[in-house]
Amino acid sequence: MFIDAIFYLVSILLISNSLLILFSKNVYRSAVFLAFSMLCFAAMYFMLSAEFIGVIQILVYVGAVSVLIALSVMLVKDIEKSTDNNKLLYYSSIIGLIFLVLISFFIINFNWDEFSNNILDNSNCLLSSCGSEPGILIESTNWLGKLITTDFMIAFQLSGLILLASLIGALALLRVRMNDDSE
Amino acid sequence: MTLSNVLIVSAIIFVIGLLGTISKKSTVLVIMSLELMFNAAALSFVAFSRFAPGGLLGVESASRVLSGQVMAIFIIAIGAAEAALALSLVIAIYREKSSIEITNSIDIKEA
Repeated sequence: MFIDAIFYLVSILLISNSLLILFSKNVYRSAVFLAFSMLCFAAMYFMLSAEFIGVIQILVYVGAVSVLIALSVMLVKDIEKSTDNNKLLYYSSIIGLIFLVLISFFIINFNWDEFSNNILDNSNCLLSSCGSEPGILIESTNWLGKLITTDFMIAFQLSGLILLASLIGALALLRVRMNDDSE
Repeated sequence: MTLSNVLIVSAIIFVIGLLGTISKKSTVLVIMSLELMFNAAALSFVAFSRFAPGGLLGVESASRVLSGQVMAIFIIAIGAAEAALALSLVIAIYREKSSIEITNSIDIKEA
């Protein structure tokens, strides 16, 4: 099916880009691969009919965070040694493999069909509704706006407060101390 | 494309991020791996919201179904705040130590 083929293609791109972040020899290329994998995440969000989250993902991560990381990469002095691993590589890969096997065993063997109705399995339609069959892209931005300003109002304002606090904290960390200059 | 497929992709990305967070020397790469872990969690939230019972078609179930997407928005906001704060911390460590290796930057009290 069309959607399935696109999903497997995007998954392969996402996993390979994420592995290339860790295993490329140049840390600047790692930042570029991070931007690519964030684009793949946005494609996954679009396929999961969360178009607002996909647009926000492109705006925030590909636009802002990747540029921020690419700017801080310029602080790296020795670009050849910058992607070295420490001595915990083998232990952490063993731990990661055990975690992955356990959680995949759970995900595969759990009966998700009690909770899900798979619209995607019987629909090729990319609009909200074409003919009689339900579509894949459904307008959710309207309901997200209503939901975030009613049910999640406190959490929304608190996340704004967290953003303000992190902004003030970043500026306080980076300010030039006048006393240090005079001494 | 079922729920378990998306969850397995999310788990693989999370494990890759965990691997990078534990085993990298450079602070910038650790922050990149942290961003991967944030996004893997957000992806599983959006997948649960997509395959929730009732689907996205019923209007009265929008509050219950779209809660996962609201959580994804909050995760993106917290991830952006974390990236800005951590990178300014990297710059502060670099001023003090002129190196951004994590093993050199344990003592940042006077930084």
